[in-house]
Amino acid sequence: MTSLMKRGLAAVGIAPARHMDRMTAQLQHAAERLKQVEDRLVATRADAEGWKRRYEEASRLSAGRAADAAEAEKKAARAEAHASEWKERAQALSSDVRDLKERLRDALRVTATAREHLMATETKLDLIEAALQVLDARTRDRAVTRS
Amino acid sequence: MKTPALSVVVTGRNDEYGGDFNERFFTVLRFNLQRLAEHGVSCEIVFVEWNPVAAKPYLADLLAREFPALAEGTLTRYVVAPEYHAALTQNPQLGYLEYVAKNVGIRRASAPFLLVTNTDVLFGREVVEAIAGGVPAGTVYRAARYDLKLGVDQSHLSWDSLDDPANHVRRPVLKPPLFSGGSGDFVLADRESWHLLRGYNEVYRAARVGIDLNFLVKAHGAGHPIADIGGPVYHINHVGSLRTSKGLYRDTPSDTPWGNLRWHSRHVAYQNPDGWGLSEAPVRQLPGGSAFLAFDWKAVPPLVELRRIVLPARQTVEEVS
Repeated sequence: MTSLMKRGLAAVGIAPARHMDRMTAQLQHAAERLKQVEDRLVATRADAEGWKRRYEEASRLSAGRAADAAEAEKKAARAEAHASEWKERAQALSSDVRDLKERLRDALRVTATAREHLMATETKLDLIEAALQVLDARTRDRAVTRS
Repeated sequence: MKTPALSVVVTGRNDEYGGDFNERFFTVLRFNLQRLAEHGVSCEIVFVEWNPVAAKPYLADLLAREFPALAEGTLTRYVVAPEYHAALTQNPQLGYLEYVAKNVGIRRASAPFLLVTNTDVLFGREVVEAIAGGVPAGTVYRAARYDLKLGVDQSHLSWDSLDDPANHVRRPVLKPPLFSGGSGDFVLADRESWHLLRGYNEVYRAARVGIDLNFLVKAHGAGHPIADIGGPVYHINHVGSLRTSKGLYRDTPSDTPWGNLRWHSRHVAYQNPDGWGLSEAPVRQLPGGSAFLAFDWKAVPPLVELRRIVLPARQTVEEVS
């Protein structure tokens, strides 16, 4: 078809069928492309949203962990202060225990010595009692002999 | 006469203690002398008869008759006047002051080493071998006392039969530092150590039990090492001994014929006077050849001397660490 005819048809709003077909195909293609782009846009948006959420989540977590770290640092400092305090108390107690052990040893020594002296005294009392009995027996024997 | 290497000090009297005392004594003495002779140990037997039984022959004389060769050589016999027992006793229930009697022998024994034992104690193999081999002076030697079962046949004694555990009633193990347990049956030391320690406790005479342990306490406290000689001696068990009869006095421990079983023999020491062992007793010879320690108050220590009861310089309990 000549171009003059195409122009005349076009003036009355008529296009050749082939042209129409071609245009339709192009339109379809464009529509498909548009759909694809739209889909991709949606996906990209969704992706972006996802990444945004992840970023926000990570930011939240990071912020939380920073806060935790700060808190942990504070706790560590408090624990260290407590540990020093307990260490001092333990040292003081150890010293007390050493003193008490020393006093216990002294007390045991004194007790042992007292016990030794007590046993020596009891032995001497045995002897005194024995001697009195012997003297008593001798006296009685003499008294019987005399009478 | 050449000085023997060993004096064996024993004491006894003719009183049928534990049944056939004399026969038991002679059997044991024969065995011990033979073993010592086999190992080349020259020895003197020092026998002390304490508080002899009136109207009975002196065991010292019977001994000389039983061992005539010994009597002419190395048997030294002492008979102690009975008045000494009456003067020294602190407990009328004690009929025999065994350790004062032993001191009489210890004071007068002549050999460089003195073994103080009892008339019913057989020397074991290791004991004789140790004595024959020589032991260092300065140490007090002990031997565990294995009790032979009552009624064991004494006619064929040998080391093989003595070593047989089937014949033993007790086989104690001696423990440091004192190695005590039946110590009255075996204490060997050099003469100088015996004299330094002045023998057994003559201050506490209210008991016969524990005096042997008390000697070990004294020796240990004075710094003498005490050691196990390395083998046992064997005691011929008999009725009336402390070990077989002390159960009868469980409820009356202070009324036994050995004195108070619970006096503090492990915790006190003593200082015997200069005249220990009746050293100042006048001596005269008896017709049978025994030396008679006649009675003289000069030889008798005071009835009680409290200042001679002392604390050991070294206790036997562990120090507080």
